[in-house]
Amino acid sequence: MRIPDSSFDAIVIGGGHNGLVAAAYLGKAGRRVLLLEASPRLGGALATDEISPDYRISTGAHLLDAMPRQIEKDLKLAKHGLRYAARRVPTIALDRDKQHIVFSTRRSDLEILRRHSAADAEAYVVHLARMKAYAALLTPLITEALPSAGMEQLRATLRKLVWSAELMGSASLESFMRQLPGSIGDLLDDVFETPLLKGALALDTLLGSREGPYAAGTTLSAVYRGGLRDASTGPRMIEGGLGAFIDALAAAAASFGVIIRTSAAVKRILIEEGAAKGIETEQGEIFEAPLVLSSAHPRATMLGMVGPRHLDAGLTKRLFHIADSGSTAKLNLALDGLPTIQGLAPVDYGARLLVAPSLQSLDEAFARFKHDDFSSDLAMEITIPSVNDAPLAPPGQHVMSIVVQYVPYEAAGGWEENRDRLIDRIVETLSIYAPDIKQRIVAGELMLPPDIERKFGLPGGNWYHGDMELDQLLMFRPAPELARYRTPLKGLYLCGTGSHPGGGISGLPGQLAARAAMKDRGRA
Amino acid sequence: MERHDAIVIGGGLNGLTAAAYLARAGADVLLVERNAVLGSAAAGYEILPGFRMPRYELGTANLPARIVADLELPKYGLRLLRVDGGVSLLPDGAYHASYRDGVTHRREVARHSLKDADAWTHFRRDMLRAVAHLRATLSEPLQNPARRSLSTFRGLLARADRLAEKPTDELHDLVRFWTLSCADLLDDYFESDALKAHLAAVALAGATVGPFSPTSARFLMQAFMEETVGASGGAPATVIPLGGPQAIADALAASIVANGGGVRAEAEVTDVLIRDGKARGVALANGEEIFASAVLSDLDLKRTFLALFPWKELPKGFVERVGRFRMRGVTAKINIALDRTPDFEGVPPDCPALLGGVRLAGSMERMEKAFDDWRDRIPPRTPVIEALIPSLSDRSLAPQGKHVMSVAVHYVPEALHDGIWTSERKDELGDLVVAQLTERSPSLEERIVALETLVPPDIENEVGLTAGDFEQGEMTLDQMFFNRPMAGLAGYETPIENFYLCSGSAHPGALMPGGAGAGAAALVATALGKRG
Amino acid sequence: MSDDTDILLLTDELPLEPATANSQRIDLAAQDEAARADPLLFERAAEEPPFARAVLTTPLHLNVATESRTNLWTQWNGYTTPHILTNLEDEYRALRHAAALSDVSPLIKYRITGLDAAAYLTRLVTGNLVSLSVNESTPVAFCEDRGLVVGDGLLFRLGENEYRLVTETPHLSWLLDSAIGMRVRVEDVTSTLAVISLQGPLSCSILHEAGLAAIQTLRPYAGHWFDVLGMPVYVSRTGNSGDLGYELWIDPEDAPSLWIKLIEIGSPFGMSAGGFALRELARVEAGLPRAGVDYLGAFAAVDPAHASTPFELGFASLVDLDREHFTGRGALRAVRSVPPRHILASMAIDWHESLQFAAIRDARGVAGIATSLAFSPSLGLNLALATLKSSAINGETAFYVEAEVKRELDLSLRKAPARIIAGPALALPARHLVPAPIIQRR
Repeated sequence: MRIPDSSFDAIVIGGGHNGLVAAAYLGKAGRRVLLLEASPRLGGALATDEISPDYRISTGAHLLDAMPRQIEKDLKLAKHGLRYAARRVPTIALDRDKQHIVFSTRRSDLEILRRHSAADAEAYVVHLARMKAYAALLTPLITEALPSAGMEQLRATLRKLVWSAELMGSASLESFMRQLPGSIGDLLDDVFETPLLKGALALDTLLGSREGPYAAGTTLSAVYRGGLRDASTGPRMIEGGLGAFIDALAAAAASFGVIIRTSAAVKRILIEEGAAKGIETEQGEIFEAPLVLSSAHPRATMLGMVGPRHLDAGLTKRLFHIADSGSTAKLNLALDGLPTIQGLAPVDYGARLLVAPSLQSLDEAFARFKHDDFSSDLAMEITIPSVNDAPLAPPGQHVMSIVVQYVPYEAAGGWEENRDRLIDRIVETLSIYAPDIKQRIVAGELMLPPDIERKFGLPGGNWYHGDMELDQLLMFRPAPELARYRTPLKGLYLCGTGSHPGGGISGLPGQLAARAAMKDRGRA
Repeated sequence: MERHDAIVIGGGLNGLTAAAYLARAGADVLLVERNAVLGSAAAGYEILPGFRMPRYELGTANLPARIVADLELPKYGLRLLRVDGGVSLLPDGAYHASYRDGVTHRREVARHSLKDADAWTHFRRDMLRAVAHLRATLSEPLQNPARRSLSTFRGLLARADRLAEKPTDELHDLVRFWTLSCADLLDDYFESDALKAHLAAVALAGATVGPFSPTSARFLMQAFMEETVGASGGAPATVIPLGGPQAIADALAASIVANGGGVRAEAEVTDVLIRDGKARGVALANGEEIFASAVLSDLDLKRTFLALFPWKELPKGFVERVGRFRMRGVTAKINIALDRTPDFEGVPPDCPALLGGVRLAGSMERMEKAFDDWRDRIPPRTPVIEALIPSLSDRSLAPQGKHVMSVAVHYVPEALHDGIWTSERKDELGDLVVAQLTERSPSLEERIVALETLVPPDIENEVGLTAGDFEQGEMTLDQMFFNRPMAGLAGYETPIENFYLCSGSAHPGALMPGGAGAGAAALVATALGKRG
Repeated sequence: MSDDTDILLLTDELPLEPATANSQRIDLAAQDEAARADPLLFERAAEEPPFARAVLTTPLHLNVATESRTNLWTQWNGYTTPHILTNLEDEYRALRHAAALSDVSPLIKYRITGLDAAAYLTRLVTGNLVSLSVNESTPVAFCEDRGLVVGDGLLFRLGENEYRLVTETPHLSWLLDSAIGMRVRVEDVTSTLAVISLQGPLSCSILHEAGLAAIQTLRPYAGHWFDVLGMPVYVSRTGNSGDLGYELWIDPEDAPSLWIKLIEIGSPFGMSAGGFALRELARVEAGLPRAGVDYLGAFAAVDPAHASTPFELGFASLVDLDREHFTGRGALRAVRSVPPRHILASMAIDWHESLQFAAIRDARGVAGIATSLAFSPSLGLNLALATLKSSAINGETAFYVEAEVKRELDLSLRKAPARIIAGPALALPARHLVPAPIIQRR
């Protein structure tokens, strides 16, 4: 594409969903925006690819889980081609004895849970309500730009927290105080007795994290993720896979006048007098703009594109130390027919299927992961997108997408030695539930954390540009000096998942960063 | 009919401290202890005639300076020795020692890494800052958010305001201290594995977390709790009471008696006497009944409420909540008498840090493996071993030229996944520990003249610590501060009127030895109308 | 998202984590090349840290010991160093009237090299380095992100991409942290570079006599390579005596020969060897604070209120807020107009004999703490460096000290008036003279 001018109101670096959302909001507000993406294709880890001729699948992320309705409306994504293959995709915990548990509060679904344990069925309803109440405390912090610390706003926020706590019932406040700093494992052990229920609920909060189910702080993560999810309308599948979601975002951005360029890696951000003035691409082109928003990893942005000489040394060190090694592998399979998952109702094949038989099996998997190994008892999140979206595969055939939790970045002995062993383990584990899976596999592709790092540009293979733990959340995300999207350099903003509120496909960092940038610019 | 202002059940450190504060406040207080010797876990014994040593504890003490001063313990015979912080024996014959003197410690760290020698200053500063913040928090009355009162609410708002005033980076440092793992935090400061393993071993002795568990970083500051800012910049000192931890108990008892209180040993309380939902006194095993306006329990939460009360007197659901209070044993004790001074390969024999004890931890990975074994409830294959030879600094403990060696073995579960601690398994553990020590001290084995192994169930049976848990309840964030002993019951008051908890199961628990006793005493003194 | 330029990719070219001092593997080929290019080869990191030894001594220890008539030793950065060699009065007289020779090898020295060395230092220090050319040095201070002083020292530029930073206290951790993302190598060369300090009005004459032709033309803060008896010696016109003086930087193996030569040539001039006490006295007269004593580095101060900005330490002249970015610039710009919380000041206490005290008082009580004390024989009064609460300073305040004066078993408290002095207490014009004065041997 020819770019008519080299001067813009804003430049957005990175064409992942957050970059696109930021660019679209800026464009919508009438700014002239240029978006630059390093790779030939937009979307980053949100991509639909052929893994075998005529079998297409979301190679990276496979569910749209946390995007608020407001963003969808603001950007008129439906108009730009966004179609859901399934909304509110249910979650089902697969049981070895075919008594699969559907996570829902519908009476009929609770019936299955009651078969595992009557007490758990009661407790489950209470538990959901309680987690929702906890999350409600955090929601205002998540969906809004953060208050600045050391100022009136933070005081107000903390006071508000004290007030909301005061308004909770005594019993729930007591459980809140005790449970929040603890581990999700201890919490679930307190509330439930069914191993499968506990395992699956724990996996739900641990996916993508490097902590075990009994690690302190995992309850807080669960609540935080719950808050993030509650801000949206539940997990959704996109027609055509997540690549189509990116297409819709790109079309929306283009409709607002955003100029999008791919294969345009940014070499450096131009800094003058402590302010961002534009960027220079690897090809040597220079584009100028008073606003530069980067959705790249904060470390790549600040150390790679800005450079340490424009930053304080302490901040440089902090960026260098952002903890972000990945913990998941992705296996994409092409199948010549729908595998038979024993005991699963036909309508449920389109659900999000969790394999996590118990907290103990998760804990064991975590212990292996900790010592650079993987368990024989793997925890997984599975979808069969072609059930809801038939055109993804040839008629009667299917694609299956599997996220495997607790796969280390480096395997003891090297991945060369272990790759096939991992694939065997995954397929073995699948066979427990779907005995015919082996015969169905036509083609497959395993992405280990280093592959995810390489292919999607996610350092360490971590989905979130930095772990979602308390020391890297809220006003500490990605570093205290860089929270609230602003950087020490005037005009430079961070709008990627490394910024608040972080991971999950929410688009919130992009939206909130665009808003912050326009607010500052408007003031100046 | 015998009657007192207050009765303290149990003569552990916190019970004695509570009684001593109450006696000083002018209350007529009686402390009753089941065993013949005071001190509970601090008790000492003779493993062989002439060889005295702490039976359950390692033998170091970290008594807050404020308690020592308030209760005038030096006047009652307490002598505290400050020695260097100890030596970690590392793989391949290497070692790392902790010195109090800043220059010496700097040179010691620089042996492993020159960069780390500088980073030590930064690390020490941050530890002391975190300690200062914690001390300030501990010195304030505990706010229990679950108690609906205007003053609590105001207190919480004030606290929120103070947090908001902190610069974000200081707030960030605080959050990191309380949430990160030991390994993650140490990686930010240091590059030397030797130094990191040494610091982790010092920090996590007796903890129920591993070096890679989130929230384990905060244990790093425990060693700095009684460190003074003005010190020369070295490592924190190890404090050894002359005569062993027993001497602290003896001094506290002397303080109680000198202030008009009473101490009665070999008096086991079987029941708390209750009338109209209020505690009225206690009943002893010999049938005697003693009455008091306030009853304080130095027993752990479970033992207090599950053993001393008819359950029907307790509120609905309370027994279940007490049952959920997590208590886990993590330490076994091996007591050894030696007929000669032990030496350690690779460590200069005159190294003054040997007075502070010897640690065998290896590396953080090795420690984590021991922690994994503990979680799997198997005897640790790579135990973290702390050996203190108190007779090196206290000649009165053993005959001339001979020594006692007090060994704490960590990550030892109280129950095994496949059965109980039989005497064979105890012997295996003892053999393993001696074998691992002998690797670095080849003549050790032949110098042993007596050896006794105590696993957590032994400690539970003898001193009454549930699960052999020295901390009287896991010190994890969900059981600390306003959650200790449980949410909604923070502090020292209990559902039974006039009945108070003054043991380590109450705030601040193991964060500050004697702190719970002092805190409970202040509350009871006020309730009794005595000067606080 | 795939725009994420992976920072790790950069590491192929940029050593993001420079080798640390004791894990350094110096590329031998590069070293050989360096040896041919530059006599600085000897200035390298020690292969093995000498810290295992019980007593740490400098390369000149035996020579210095020869001069000791007192056997009084002290410790300086871990090294055994003479406290007083003969007696302080005689050493002082030599320093101020002829010259004093001392072994200052325990000064902490860092060698900073690499393509980004200049950019690295530009970001590290608070001052402007644009005019620092090769063979010159300049006093520098460096801050952390919040604008609090980490340390100060003297920065030499030895080559296009080669610098030496000399400090009182060690800072390797901060220097290496600051090197993240930069092509620069930072090495501690303290133990492999001996330093002899020759200070005093006749110092130039002595070096001239020793065959250092044209030494008198060396400007203050400048340095130059000389050949002395076939030994390469880097001589800089630096030192903290407040007077004309030089520091000689030399291979530890050559250092003893140079020392002997200087003693031989200097003695007829009235030169004498001096110890650490003399160095302390001279720097207090010159009004120079010492890190770790008169102020706490930002990473050492446990109470944040005890760390200082450069403005609070009187380092304002070392700060240029209008130049390109350096660590702490943002914070310092913000505090520039904020009144200081405390001030490090030079003070004079008019009393005829040496006093011991710590508190500086005013009518309202303790106004500050004196951290360095010295009785100046030249001025006949007590000097101090003191940190004063800013609330106590208004130009009107009458300060005083209460000193304990002991007479056998009698103890009396003496009140003595104290006043703030601007600039060095003892200003000696010869330190600025170019060419430096040369006097023929007596």
